[in-house]
Amino acid sequence: MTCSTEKLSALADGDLPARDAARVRTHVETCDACRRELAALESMKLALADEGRIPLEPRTGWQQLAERLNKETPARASWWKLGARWALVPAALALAVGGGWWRHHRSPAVSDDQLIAEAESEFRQADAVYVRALDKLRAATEHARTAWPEPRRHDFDAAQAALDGATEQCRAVARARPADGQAEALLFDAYRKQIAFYQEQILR
Amino acid sequence: MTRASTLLALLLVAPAAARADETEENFVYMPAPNSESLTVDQPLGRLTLNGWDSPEVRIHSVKRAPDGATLDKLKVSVEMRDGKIHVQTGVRVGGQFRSMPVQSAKIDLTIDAPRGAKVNATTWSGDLNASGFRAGAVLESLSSGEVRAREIQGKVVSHSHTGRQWLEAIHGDVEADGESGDVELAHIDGDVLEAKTVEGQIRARQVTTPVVRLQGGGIVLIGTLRSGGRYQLIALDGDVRLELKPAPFSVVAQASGRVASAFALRGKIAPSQVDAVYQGGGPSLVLRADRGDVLLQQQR
Repeated sequence: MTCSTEKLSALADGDLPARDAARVRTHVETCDACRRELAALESMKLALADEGRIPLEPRTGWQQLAERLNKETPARASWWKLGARWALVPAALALAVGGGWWRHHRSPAVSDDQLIAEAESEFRQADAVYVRALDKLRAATEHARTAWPEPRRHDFDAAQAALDGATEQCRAVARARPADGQAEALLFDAYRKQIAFYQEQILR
Repeated sequence: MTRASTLLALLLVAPAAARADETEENFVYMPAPNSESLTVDQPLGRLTLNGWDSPEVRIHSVKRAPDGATLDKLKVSVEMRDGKIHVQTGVRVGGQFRSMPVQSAKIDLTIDAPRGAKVNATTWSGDLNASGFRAGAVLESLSSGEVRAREIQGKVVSHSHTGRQWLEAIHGDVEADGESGDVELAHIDGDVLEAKTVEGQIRARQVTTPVVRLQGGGIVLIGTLRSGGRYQLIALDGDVRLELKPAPFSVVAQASGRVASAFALRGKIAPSQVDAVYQGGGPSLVLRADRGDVLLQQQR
């Protein structure tokens, strides 16, 4: 079997049939890269479990509340009332209403693919800011590092390598799950741990 | 163009522009007599949280989308068990609820909840406002949204990726951090105040916290030092500037530029390095500007 992030992800989620799960586990035992990635996926799953997601009681008032907040035919804002406020000339208003109706029915719904692409774009922008901040802190710390005694340099290098490795694992998980807010949150958390580490070095 | 034709054009354009968004607004009340915590994941827009004395939760949502079909994809999920309330916004994509930020549709939320609820709220690029709670709060904007917190009792943990943060009248410890947004702190009176940004400026005034650690692009501290207080202020890119009322203090300062003091210091004093006391010493200041000056000024 070849390495497959998707299969690892499905294994972590418990979505694989027993036979496939056994096959993937056998592969993981002999593949360091997959073992690391599975560990990252499982720790992400644990982290998400720690968020304490609460299942809904059937037909509670809170479920009814959610339904009210999401009802399909809500009291939508009456744009035409706004138009009427401005419409001093009935003929112009009629044209505007017609134009609005045409715009509404002409424009298609935003597709699922586009929504996912938008989310990915948002995540990549945030990612770039984290990388820039880390580069800056890394440079500042590297400058200070030259004056540190050898034991401190050694400890710093080891800690930095561990954090880099953990962040890389989270990045691999995020790449395997496009537009997954929870996977991105895990990656951003890893970035923030790295930032806190460098800031702590600067404070010392 | 004549006045009449201009008016006609405006009349045609104004409703069409107003029509560019579909909106949906809902306002609901639910009883929550024993609310212990309020968790909100809101990647789709603004979030305002108000603590109130009523034993119920009110959620006001405004959804916006370019068309009705997209509007119907926007969802608000609300769950509650054992006094824990969890509100989540998201988009229905491929038959699944996904809590993720998108650009073409928005949900703005205003939630009023009992003051005693411990708040844990996250936004993306939408601003996050919280006030009036008394069991602390964790407030995060994961992108460019601003975070504003005021009149909160208990520990406040705040983060904004690139947006500004305003924390005011916080009666408890504060931890604020960010990557490139500025941080404004005022009237903080817990035991520990810690704020860190990589590129943003940090400005603190009327802080009575005895332990203050600030690290940012530039630092400004205005007010009175607390007796026995320990202040560690580090600027990575700009100046460390203190505007203080005359009162005794001890200071160790280092700058890539100059260390300048309007106070008559006694001790080791060099142009870019100082280890000295004012009026015999008192609260301890450790100040460092890696690419700037350290300036000790008297408050007017």
